[in-house]
Amino acid sequence: MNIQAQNIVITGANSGLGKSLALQAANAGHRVVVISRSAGQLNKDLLAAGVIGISGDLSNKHEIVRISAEVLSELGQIDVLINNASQLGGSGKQPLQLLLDTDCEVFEEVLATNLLGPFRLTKRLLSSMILKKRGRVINISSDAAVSAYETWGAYSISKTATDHMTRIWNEELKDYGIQFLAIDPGDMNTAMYRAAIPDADFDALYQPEDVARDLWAFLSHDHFEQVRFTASQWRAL
Amino acid sequence: MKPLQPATRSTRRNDAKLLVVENEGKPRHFQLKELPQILSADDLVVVNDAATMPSRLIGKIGNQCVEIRLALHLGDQPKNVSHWLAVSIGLGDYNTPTEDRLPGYAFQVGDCIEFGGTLKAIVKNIAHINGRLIEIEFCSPKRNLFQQIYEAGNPIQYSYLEERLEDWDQQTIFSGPAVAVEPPSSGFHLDWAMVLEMKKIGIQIVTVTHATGLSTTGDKQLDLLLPLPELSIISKDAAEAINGAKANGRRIIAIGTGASRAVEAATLTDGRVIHGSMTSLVKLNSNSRPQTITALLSGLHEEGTSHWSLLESFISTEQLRKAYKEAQREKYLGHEYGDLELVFSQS
Repeated sequence: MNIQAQNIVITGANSGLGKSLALQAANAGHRVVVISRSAGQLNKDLLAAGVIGISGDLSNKHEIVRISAEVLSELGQIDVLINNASQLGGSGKQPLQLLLDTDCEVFEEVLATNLLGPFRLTKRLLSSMILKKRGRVINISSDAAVSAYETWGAYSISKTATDHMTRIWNEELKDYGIQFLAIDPGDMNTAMYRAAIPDADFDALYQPEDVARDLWAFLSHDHFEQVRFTASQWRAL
Repeated sequence: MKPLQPATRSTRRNDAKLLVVENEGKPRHFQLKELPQILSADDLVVVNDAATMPSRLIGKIGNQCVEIRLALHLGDQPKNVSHWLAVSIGLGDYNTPTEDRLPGYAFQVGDCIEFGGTLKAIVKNIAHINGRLIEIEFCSPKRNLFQQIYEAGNPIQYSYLEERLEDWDQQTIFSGPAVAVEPPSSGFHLDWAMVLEMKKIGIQIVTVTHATGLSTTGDKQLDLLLPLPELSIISKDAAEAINGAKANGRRIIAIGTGASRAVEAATLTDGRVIHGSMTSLVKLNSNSRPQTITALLSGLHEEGTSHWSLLESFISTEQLRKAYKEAQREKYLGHEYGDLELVFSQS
């Protein structure tokens, strides 16, 4: 990330990787807005760091106009957008299930949050980046976007589609100074991961704050030759 | 002169027409999608990036139902959405033109309007003697005032449209800070394919933020006050780009009346355009000439409207009438979602 203060928007940032990314960016002197369903009660660490919270449901198309207007009323223009919010689907107790057992409504909800939400928000926030010929949009991906894991169906499919959407955005706008990246952060010790794989060895996982630190270091590069990065690829750079 | 038939759908039309009006020549017909070719690589385009608030709110004072329309953003910054000028409107559905409604509720200082939930507005001041132009302050024990106004408000509807408008029908591809109460509608039919083509040609595009206020109040006395002194924000980059273009004799094209009012209000008597937040006190009409803007792209509105008056600062009334007749002959669609004209200043 450049040393010059930037305007950064991060979705789903009241916990996990999003929270750590927001906190570290704010502490480094950037202006940070986070969007999440619970941003009305913004985490106290984020509040103390000067992060601005905007509450809203990105899966709801009726809220996107207001959310984007509120973001742009706050920041004026945007340098970096990180689409981090996502959901696994299923119920709280059983977030993963066979595709055969996945209700159509659950599939739709997952696509609304993980694919359509980032599409609508990006579309609304791109204007200032295009006109200034500068900006970066980062879609947080997963290895489930590439590998077909049993029971990860709806989430996995939404991430594959988001990866491809990232490539298409990049192809259409690469000549206009905007870089799109799909980044798989790798497995982390987050509430989402613990809910998905309750019997995993959590001590062997990266902590979200360490991944956030390493990701910001990776993003300090000015230019990237590819759009999608696996965890081992971005860590190797 | 009979008004043009208004567009009755809010959808972006790929086949929108464009009438180019310049000097004494005959107005020329194009498709809007030809705009990148009509402009030249040296041109600078200025657009208004204001997003439009859902500015029609229905509330209660005690048991009395009242309707207000936000008329002007009074915050010093876009993010401050508590203070507004508002107009009291007579009750009725959106198919009834504003001017045909009964007079609205006559407010008094201290009235508290409740909008459901926890959102309220206190009448802080009566801005006009008849009690129908008021200064209000929104308040709520919850922190997210912005969200609550969006939940309570509805977009202004147009009685000539077939459908009920949603929030997104009033935004343009440039929509940014939510300071407008009526949409910068000249940008409705512009799409990114057209804008990216302009950029490819080398046309420079900059944004200004202009808090477009209400265009009609339904009250003849109040309408005389329009346009209200609207907030404009011009960034340092935009001012530098405009001054650079001006110094080199390049054309400066405004998309919409808001963009032109913002830039003209920021033009000093020595011709320089300044940056910052300011109030647009300049009224462009037949008694004035634009000092910075070379041409204005906008919708077609009939003689007698504030829009027409503004265009009279660009070109003679006679030329405007000639262009309007030509648009009628070719069955152009009028009003917010209609076809467009590009009018070059004669000065």
